[in-house]
Amino acid sequence: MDIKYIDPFIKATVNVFDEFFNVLPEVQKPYLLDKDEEHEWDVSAIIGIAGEAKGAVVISFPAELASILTSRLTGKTVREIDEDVVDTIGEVVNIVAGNAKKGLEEYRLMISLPSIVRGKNHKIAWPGKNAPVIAIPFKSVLGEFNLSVILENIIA
Amino acid sequence: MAGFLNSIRRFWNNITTSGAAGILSMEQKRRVVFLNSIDLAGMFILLAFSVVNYRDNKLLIAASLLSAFFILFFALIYMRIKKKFVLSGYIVVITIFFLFLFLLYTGGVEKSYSLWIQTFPLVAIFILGLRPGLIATGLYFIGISCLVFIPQAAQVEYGFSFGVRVIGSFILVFFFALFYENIRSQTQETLEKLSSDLLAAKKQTDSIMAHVDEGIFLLDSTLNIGSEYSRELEKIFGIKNLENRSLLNLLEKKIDEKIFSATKDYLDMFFKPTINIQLLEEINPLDRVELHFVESDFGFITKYLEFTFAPIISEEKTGNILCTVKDITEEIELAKKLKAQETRTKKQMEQLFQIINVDPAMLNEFILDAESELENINTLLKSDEKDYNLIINSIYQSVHAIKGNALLLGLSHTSKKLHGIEDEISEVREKELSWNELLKFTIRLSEIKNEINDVKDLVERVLAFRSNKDVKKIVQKDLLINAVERTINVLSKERNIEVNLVTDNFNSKAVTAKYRKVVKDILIQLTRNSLAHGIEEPKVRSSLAKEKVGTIIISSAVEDGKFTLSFKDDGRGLNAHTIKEKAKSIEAFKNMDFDGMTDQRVLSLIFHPRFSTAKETTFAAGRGIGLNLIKATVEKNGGSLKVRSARGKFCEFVITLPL
Repeated sequence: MDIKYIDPFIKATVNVFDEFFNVLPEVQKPYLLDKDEEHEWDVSAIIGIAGEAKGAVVISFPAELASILTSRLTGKTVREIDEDVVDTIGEVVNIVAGNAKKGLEEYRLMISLPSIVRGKNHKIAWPGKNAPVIAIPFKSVLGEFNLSVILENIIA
Repeated sequence: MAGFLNSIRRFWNNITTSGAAGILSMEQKRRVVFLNSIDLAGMFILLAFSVVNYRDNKLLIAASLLSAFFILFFALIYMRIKKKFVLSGYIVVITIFFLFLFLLYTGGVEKSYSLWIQTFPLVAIFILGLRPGLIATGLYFIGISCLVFIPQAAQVEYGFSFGVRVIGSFILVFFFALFYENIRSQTQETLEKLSSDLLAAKKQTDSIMAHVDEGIFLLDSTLNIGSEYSRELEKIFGIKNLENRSLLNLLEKKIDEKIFSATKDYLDMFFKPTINIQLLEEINPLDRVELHFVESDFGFITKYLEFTFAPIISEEKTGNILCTVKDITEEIELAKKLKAQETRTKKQMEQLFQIINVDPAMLNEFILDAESELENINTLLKSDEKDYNLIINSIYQSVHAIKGNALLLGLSHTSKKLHGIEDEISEVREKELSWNELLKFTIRLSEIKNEINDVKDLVERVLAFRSNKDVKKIVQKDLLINAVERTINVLSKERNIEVNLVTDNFNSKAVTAKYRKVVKDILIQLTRNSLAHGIEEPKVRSSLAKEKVGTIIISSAVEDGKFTLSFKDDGRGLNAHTIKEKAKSIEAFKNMDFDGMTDQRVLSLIFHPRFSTAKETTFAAGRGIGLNLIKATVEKNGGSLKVRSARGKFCEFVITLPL
């Protein structure tokens, strides 16, 4: 795993939150995430990565933050994680991915459209066998969310 | 208007092809269409004339025309339903045969019916074909000759010279019909043969295109795929109906953007007037290319393709590009797997040789320790701690501890890797640390976890080979003492010294589970210290009138709810002067007032994280974090640490931990 592939995603996340929600999220200390670990997130958007590195970048939100973000963007009041929330989170993460793509231009990387997983303590089908996941928590005035990365370098 | 014309045309086509369905031969189809057309035209004319004659009060003629109309109508319907082409052909021809003879018999206005009858050979020969048409025309010829030449044979008198003209023009029309039919049927034959040859050739091409295991296709100047391409191409792209699809669209977002734009320029070069074929072969950007197909859920399927392009040049211009594409994913994946497997196997063999001689219980212990170290760090990372330097130092200490244990067990691969990470941390830990560095070392931690997992896999496999009896025997040994013995074995060889370990007063059962790892770490670290700095070489010892073999005494006691551990060696002891000199040379200590320091204060410097007295940092000692780590651990547990030393005689560490 190389930090240069992760950096653009972090920057893009901060930028998108700043631009769309007028909120500057603060990066917290990264840690190792156990794949089977229980978590507090209710919606996750998964971006697949292929090319000179292979794996996934996942952005996970608790229900409350996902609802706040959706209300802010759509103007509707959100009571549960419905299709609107899924669509909004998908769109937000899509913009993050598009933003990150600019920073990844110099590498031979492909990134997929985000796909959404939801539910309390939902399972994410992490690619790769033994490789641990790096979790990068974000703190913002609207709530906390998390960016997780698992990458396997193809070209050493 | 155009729509109206179109529907008329469709209606006409529908009527004229009545009964043609299921007929394969083009010749027959044309005859059916001709028959139906004549039939229809005849019907209109007959109906019209029948009305005209009725108005003129020529009832007989009107009636016969009308009956001829109905016969033709019947023939058309019959043809449409029964598809009996030959029979309805005869019905039409015979009807016209008698109708025309009847008309000639009646003469018409100014003998004008003699003009109408000229068309019979055309109808007979085209509808019935050459031979029956000739017979019918022959009979017809006899009939009209009789009517024209025999006086009073018809209602009107035609006269000889008029009759010759009628017969003459009839013969002319007849010959033209004959020639035309002859030429037409010959052309038809050639055409049919040609098209059946083409059909056979097409079948062969289709069969090749369906079964060849490469994608073969043509690109036109707009870079669209032509109509003829091999089925494999659909398989490669996973899309049906590729005709007229743009190759660039198929590749876009699946290949690297740079390669994509290079491909665009490259393919355009084929259609430039100055085309260098050899150069084009050499610079093909799709020579070997990775395509990433997005999967429905998430992630990609990667295919490796090999493209070749060759211009098809006609009239000195590229008309099309002939392209082939081959899916070489399996070969590439196989080669990759083989290579990865090779590296892995090589690494595993190395590790296997290293661990095969080590007690499995100790390996288990190593793995458990390493995992708990990583867990501790992860807990720290998850905590609110904001001091990055403190975190990095903790990572360093953990890496150091795991490395020490790995080294002890002879896991050189693992310890080398850990040593490398230690070096990386050493470079930055003096500096102001950024978040990025923290992330970098978190990634390193994940790599260590991976490494430990690998060892774990290997140990499990080795254990599977060993009998349970063996394992039990090993477990019963005292693991703490064992670890110290092993450290001594490894390090004493390295420094060419001899050490005798005395543990008579050490009771490992008194070490509670809570302190097991703490005590083990302390013992190993002190042993390493002692062997690196304390115990002298045999020659030196002899010259000092000491035993050649050094001694390390480890003892323990439990008193007043406290556990006391003592570690004593008979080495050179601590030397306040050497420590002071060394400390003066260390950058971190440059502001200290050494002159005013008591010996006790000087000795305490050895617990400072930056202190080390070994001349070079070797694999085993000299990183300087060891004693500091011990002190920190002891204090964290609410214990205390004392050091006593006599120069040239001994050095003793006494550690007290609350129970």
